[in-house]
Order: sequence, then C-alpha cells, then structure tokens
Amino acid sequence: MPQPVSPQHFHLDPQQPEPIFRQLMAQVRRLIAAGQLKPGDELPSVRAVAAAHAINPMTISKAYSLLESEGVLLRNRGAAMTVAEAAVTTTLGQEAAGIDARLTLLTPALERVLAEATQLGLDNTQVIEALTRLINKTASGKESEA
Amino acid sequence: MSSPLIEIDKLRYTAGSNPVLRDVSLQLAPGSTLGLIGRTGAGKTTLLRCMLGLGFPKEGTARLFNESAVSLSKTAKARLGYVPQTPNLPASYTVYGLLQLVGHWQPNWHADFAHELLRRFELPGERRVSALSVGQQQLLALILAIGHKPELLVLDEPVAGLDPVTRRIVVATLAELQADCNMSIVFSTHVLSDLERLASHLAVLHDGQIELMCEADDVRTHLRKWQLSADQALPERLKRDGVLRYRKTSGKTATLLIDTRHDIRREQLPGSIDEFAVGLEDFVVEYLQ
Repeated sequence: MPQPVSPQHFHLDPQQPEPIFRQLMAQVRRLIAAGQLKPGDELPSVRAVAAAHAINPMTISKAYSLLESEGVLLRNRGAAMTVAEAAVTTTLGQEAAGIDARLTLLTPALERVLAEATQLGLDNTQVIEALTRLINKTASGKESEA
Repeated sequence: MSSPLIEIDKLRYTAGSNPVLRDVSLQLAPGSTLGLIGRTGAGKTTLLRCMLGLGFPKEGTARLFNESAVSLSKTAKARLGYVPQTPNLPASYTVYGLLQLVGHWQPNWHADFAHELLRRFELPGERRVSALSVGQQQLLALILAIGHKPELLVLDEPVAGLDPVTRRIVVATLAELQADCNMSIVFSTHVLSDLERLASHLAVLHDGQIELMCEADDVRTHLRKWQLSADQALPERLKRDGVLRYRKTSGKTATLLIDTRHDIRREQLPGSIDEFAVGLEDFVVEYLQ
C-alpha cells in the first residue's frame, strides 16, 4: 500500500500552546481534506514520527487513536494505520453527510471561544450576539465587494 | 490499572539537620515519562537517588518494579539504567574496552545496539575515557545506561552540556526506545533541554516538596498565564484555588499561572488582565522564577 506522507511531512512544535497530539490530528485531517492522503493510504508509524520529531511516542499514538475513534483512520493488525474509506466524509463533509461532519471540525474552535468567553465573564447571550454581529459584518462586507 | 513502576510514599530525607525532602509522594505508571523540574538545591538529585535505592530516606518508602528501592533484586537492577549528574567513568579504559566490560556483567546487553549508538553519537571507540570531553563522557555514560534497553531510565540533568544537534539526536534515540520497549524515563532538569519533548508528566519540586504534578498535555490545554495590571499596590502573596503561581513583577503588576479547570474569575482580581496561552517553556520558566 502506498505511503504518500513521510514523518517529516508533519510539523510538530512543542513550544506551541496547542498540545502536540492536537497539532498532529489537525494536520492529518487537513492532509485528507486536501486530498494528499486518500482512503487506503498508509500513515507513517508511531515510532517513525516519534523518532523524526523527537517526541514521546505515546503522544503520537494518542493522536492516531483519537483519529481512529473518530473514524478517520483504520487500525490494521500488525500493519500501518490507513486512512478510512469514510475519512473524506468524516473530515471534509460531502454534500449529504456533510453539515454535521463539518460542524465537528469547527467544534474545537467554538469550544475555545466559549472557554475564553467564560474566562472573560461573558454570558451565552452576549457571545451569540457577538457572533451574529460578526456574521452580519462579514456578510455585508461580501455584498459590498460584489 | 497495572501496578505502578515507581511508587514513592511520604519520603523524608535530611542531610545533617537540613531537610532535603519533606513528605514527597508520587507514582508513575509503566511507559510514562516524568520530567522533574526544580531549581538547584530543590532536592532533585536526592529524590532520584532515593528512587534508585542509592539514598536512604529518614521516613517513607520508595518502590520500583514492586520492590523496595533499598533492597532491589538483581533482576530489578537489570531493568534499570541511570546516568548521574557527573558520571564517574574509569579514566584508563578506552570507549570500546568499557563497552566490553559492561557487556560482560550486564545480562541483557545489546552489543550491536551499543555500537550503533557509538556511531550515532560520533564517539571515538579507540580513545581513552580520560581523553574524552565532558559532553562525550555524558554520551558514553548514556550508552552504558541504555545498552541493555532498560525499562526505566533515570537521568539526572543529563543533556544540558550537549550542543543542540547532539541533544536532538539523543532525544530522538530515547523516543525510539520509548516506542520499541515502552521504556519509561525519569529526568531532572533546571533548564529547558529538549527532553521536555519526551515528558508525559511533569512534576515541580520546590524546597523538598512536590508543588505540582500533572500531565504535560494539561499544561497546554488547561493552564493560562495572566498578566495583571492594577491601579493599587498588589499583595505580596495571593492564595486562591486555581492560582498556581503568583509573582509580583512590580508594585502594581503581577504574573499569574492559572488552572482554568478551577472557577476563577477575572473580576475577583484587582485590575485588568491580559491572558496568554502557556507552552512548556513558559511553564518551566514561571515555576523556576
């Protein structure tokens, strides 16, 4: 089976505030969304990614396992993990199955917004109002462009 | 849960009349890697030595592989690797000679692997230990400690003297061993050294006590740095749930390390707050200051 992505393909930066396993998960999803990883393609092994980036293999393994539980990757006994057939729908969202899947991709960003809003002492209504204002502003910006 | 690899319970250690460790308890599961962070004199070396049965605590217990650390069996010792802060290697041996010697008494020695490491770390095999640089001696001590692929490797401020390129090679090698043999590592550090990349857990040792132990991912996920600017003089100390660190940077400004899992609100503090994400480096720096 082809292995189109080498361990060096990933950019993992321990100094980033984003946990490394999340950095890796996001990059795998993006590679799938961009078509660089297709269903059936092999992922580099946990050991290879860990050694290439000098990162704890448990961290890499955690990212792969979470992607497996999301249906993005498949675990194959004694062989490399592969991209699941359904991965494209799961990560990208085709027309039919799409909206829920795409919302799932957006969830981490929304969770961050909520967490920061809580820290700022803002209530839910204020957050929704702010988001609505932002959406309207973006929409009117697009209209004036057109 | 499988039984812990390391189990330290209420350890107290004194040097003369000076308390070095006061009531230290911690557990580590097999496969985990613990970064022990603390300033010089915090008690890191003593804790590691007690963990290995090389230091004898006044009270409390340290257990390794389910055995008492002070009376480890031969089998348990063969599952261990240790690099002390200043390795004391026999000066008259050549590098090859020393590897051969250790290979003789170490039952699980992997000679091929040890020679592969020599090549990787670019150590001259024919040279005598006395003619090696300090950094080269550290690398050799590391090979001697991992040539039998131990289940637990203990490193006391090991890589600080190495250049960044060599450091990266060392850390990558350790990551491979973590992957291949589920090797656990406990390392102590007072500087950022790349080893943090391998840590699944972090513990902060301050003045002989564990101030905080957490998963490395928790730092990035749940901790935030708050810069507080007040219009009045700030107190010297601030104790509150969720405030891990409070450090006054001037009369009216302070830096706080916040655990967002606690319900701490900005309005509980006097003044305006800028919030920042926390990386491992910030975390270590904040704790060492």
